[in-house]
Amino acid sequence: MIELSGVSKTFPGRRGPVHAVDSVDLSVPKGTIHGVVGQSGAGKSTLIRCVNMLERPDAGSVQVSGQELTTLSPAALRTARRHIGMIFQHFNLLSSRTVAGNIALSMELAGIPARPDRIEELAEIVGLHGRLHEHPSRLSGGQKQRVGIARALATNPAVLLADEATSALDPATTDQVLALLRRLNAQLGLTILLITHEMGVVRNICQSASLMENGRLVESGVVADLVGHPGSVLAERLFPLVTEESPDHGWMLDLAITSPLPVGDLSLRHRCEVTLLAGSVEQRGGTRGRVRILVRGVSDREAFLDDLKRVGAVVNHSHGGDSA
Amino acid sequence: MNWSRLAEQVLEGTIDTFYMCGLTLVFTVLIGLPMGVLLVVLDRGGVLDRLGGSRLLSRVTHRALSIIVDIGRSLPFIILMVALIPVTRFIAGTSIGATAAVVPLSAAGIPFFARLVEIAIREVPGGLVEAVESMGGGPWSVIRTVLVPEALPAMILGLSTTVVSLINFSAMAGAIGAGGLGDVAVRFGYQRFEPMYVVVVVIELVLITGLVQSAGSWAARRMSKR
Repeated sequence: MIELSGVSKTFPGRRGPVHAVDSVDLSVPKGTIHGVVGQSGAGKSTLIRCVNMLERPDAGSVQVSGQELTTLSPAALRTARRHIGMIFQHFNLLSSRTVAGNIALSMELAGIPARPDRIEELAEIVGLHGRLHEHPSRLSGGQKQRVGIARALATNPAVLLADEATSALDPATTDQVLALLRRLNAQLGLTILLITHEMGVVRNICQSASLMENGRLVESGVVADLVGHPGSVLAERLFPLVTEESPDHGWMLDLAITSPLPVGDLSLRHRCEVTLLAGSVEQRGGTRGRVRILVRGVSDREAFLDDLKRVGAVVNHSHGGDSA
Repeated sequence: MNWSRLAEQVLEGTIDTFYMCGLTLVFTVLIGLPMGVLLVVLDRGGVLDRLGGSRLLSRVTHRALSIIVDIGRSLPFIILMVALIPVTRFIAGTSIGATAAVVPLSAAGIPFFARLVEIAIREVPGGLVEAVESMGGGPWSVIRTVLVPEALPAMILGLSTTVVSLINFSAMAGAIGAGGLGDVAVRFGYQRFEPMYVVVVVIELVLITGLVQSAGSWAARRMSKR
């Protein structure tokens, strides 16, 4: 659906050129939700703007829905953009228009008749019924972003680009908006590419993700698979495990799990002590995450490891001497 | 103190002032508004900063407009009036009278309003422009759906400031026989030592200015749903 190949963008900086995007290859299959995560300044904003050519890449190819965007004429590019929706961190709604007027804007620009029943339908989909004749100044942040989403969906795009869409929202509202996006992806098959600096967003809805640092994509993968890779920096960022004191005796295991870990059951079957030291687990859309456990008093380690495999846990790291 | 003569002169002066400023206002908005928009969109980063594919045409046009506006704003009005006498004669057929005064008044009003329009439009957040571009809107769509509507309250405030300035400038138009309130105050109050004329004109001007500002603020507030 979205294919970036060798995309680069450089800006002149005070101390020499800044490689905001450095030779990025990215492939987002149809119907997936993909997150590009990284710190501020990593180049994510520039990257996502290269997808709909709000920033023109200096090199590389950008294909959306099979169409190469870098070689299009300005008029053809404008037509192509009508099939790519975008939502923004600060919503970017027109204060001079009502909610209905804002939703209608994308349709007007695309030359589609902005029928009132279609606007109502869109408002229903995003959960904004009854607010069509209000102005954005009267809405909360979450409501404004819903208007933005409705506006982006109005032209039935195949792809939605989300630029830090929840970064200006509180956690509860963020969850609501992400739940909406997840629903849209499931019900409409909408392909979503989002950028964020919040790991929680990626954990919440992304099926696959990429880590961006200094303009380069340093790691990409399917989130559920990444957790099982011991060396994955992305998995470590997404599911951090932090234990402050290192326990001096016991067998410490870092596990990647894709189903809930039956700690009590394990401890009973192997007559040992299993303590949960740290964990970072996401339940929405299926269990995935990493946990750190401390096992003490197990006699047959092999059997314990077999049991772990049986419950779908992958050992990323094993550490610790023997103890009674 | 001949009150009826005062009333007659002040009334005539008021009509002349309204006529001069009203007609000037039409040109000021018709030419000044697009000029202000162009000053923003032709500039670096604006939606029309690549006319014909390169920065050159946009930069040249922008620079020319900017210079015209700067000259118009920096010349004291009375000098502008005198300097434009040949132009006035060419356009209006004469260099004397209220209609003729519209020429130099417009020459002052247009750049003045254009700058205020430019300021108003620069206040519109760039994210809104980006949003419209992401929806497939071209430069004209950006101007039509975002820049002008979003800047409207500020432009209305700019307009009321312009009206007050025009009334101010029109007072000097008396020097070219245009009549108007300023002329009344100078001719009777200054030249004929009848200070009551000055008092009445001043009071009237303060009232008019207050009304114009209030009307402008009211209209701007109504338009602004932020």
